[in-house]
Amino acid sequence: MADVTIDWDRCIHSGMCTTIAGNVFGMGPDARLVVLHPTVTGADLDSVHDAAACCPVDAIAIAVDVVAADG
Amino acid sequence: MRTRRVVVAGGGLAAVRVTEFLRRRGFDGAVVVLGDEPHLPYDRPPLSKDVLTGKSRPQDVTFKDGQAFADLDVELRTGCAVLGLDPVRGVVETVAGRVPYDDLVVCTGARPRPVPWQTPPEGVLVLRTVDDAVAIRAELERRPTVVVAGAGFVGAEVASSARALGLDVTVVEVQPTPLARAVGPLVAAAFVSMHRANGTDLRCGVAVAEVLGRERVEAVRLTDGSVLPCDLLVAGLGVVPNVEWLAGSGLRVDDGVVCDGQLCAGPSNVHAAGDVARWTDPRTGRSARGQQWMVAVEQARHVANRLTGGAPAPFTTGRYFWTHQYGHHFQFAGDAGAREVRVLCGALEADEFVVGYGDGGRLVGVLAKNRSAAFVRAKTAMDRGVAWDDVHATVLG
Repeated sequence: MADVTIDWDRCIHSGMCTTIAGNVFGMGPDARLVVLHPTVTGADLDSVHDAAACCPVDAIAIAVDVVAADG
Repeated sequence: MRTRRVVVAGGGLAAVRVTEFLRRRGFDGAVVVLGDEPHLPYDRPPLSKDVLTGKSRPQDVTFKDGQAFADLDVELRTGCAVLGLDPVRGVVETVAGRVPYDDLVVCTGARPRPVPWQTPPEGVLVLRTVDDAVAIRAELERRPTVVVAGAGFVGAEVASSARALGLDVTVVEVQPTPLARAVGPLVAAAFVSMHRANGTDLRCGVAVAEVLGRERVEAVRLTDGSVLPCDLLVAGLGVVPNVEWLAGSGLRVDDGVVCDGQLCAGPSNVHAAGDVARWTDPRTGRSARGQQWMVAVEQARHVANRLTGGAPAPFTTGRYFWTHQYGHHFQFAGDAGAREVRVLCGALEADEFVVGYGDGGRLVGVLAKNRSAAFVRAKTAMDRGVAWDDVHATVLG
């Protein structure tokens, strides 16, 4: 399990995260990029890691929940 | 005991991402990176922007520190230029000896096209590496009058950074407009007016014919005969792929390492990614080198998928790029060689716009200036195959 956040000061809205991890990143009601599901598990975690590697400005932070991971 | 060893030739973006994607996919063999530069791997896009303006220091652009490579169990060898390849024995020859591999990923990138002029020893520079950026930054601190040869992405961003420092800048572009191939001729006009609105003297349809000055550049003479006095000439004339080390290897080389649609470079255990890779895009049927940050990352991902047993789908790219010029943020995705071009919102001369490129009844390309949310909407619609006639409503509604 991990918590996903976007650094909005860095984000340039490339939209790569929505392409790669559409379950987690998407467009909000005001038609802006949002983290749809900040707490991520399973296969979504793999796609979030790929999205972070494809982010041109390194704006995606993934904080792995160590307690949950160990438990 | 380890069963497989992946060697990555090159130490840039594609090389680093290959190692990260491999580990992320559970590859537990040995991973060795052979970088030719003495530095830790670093990100190039900030070099022409924040490093030149002094906003970032050279050490700020490294991807991560040496410990992070160790934590990933990746053996990073810096200052280890590759010299040759024997694909039959599975050995890479380097300045520090022979390195055997089970799988090789060629990520040796590209270098600036050599300048076609006789040049004095000082004041004529190119921009590719962090050392190049440090050298140009040092020159800019002396408050020179600047000439930039080439109005492509690198040239335009160098000009933009020099203008941000308040310097006199002239850009010389041999084509009638800058970036015509990247964004199409109609939209390229927007870049012409932007250069000029920001005080850059943009000369199109001419080239630098001669560099004047004995010890240091003093002026350039253009093909139309005009002479521009300057203290610094930065050449942004494109790049050539680093393929010389593959001579005699049997790998096919033709302005890059020739790959199949899977980015396989001939032998089944040799792949390529990044600026050095030439592949045929199944969507366009055109053979090309990527030369964009995102394409390098997408290719690294594809190769890592291949090496970890992923499904053998052909490599495809969204052909995304961004550029930052004169405080304006541009983003593009798709194909600019389309038949129709439509301004979806804003205006080409304004500070904001979204342009759609249409072909075959579909939206096939999007360019946005300072309209990030609309860009993502349009790109998402494009990926879903939105019809050209519905573009306005979908993108703006």
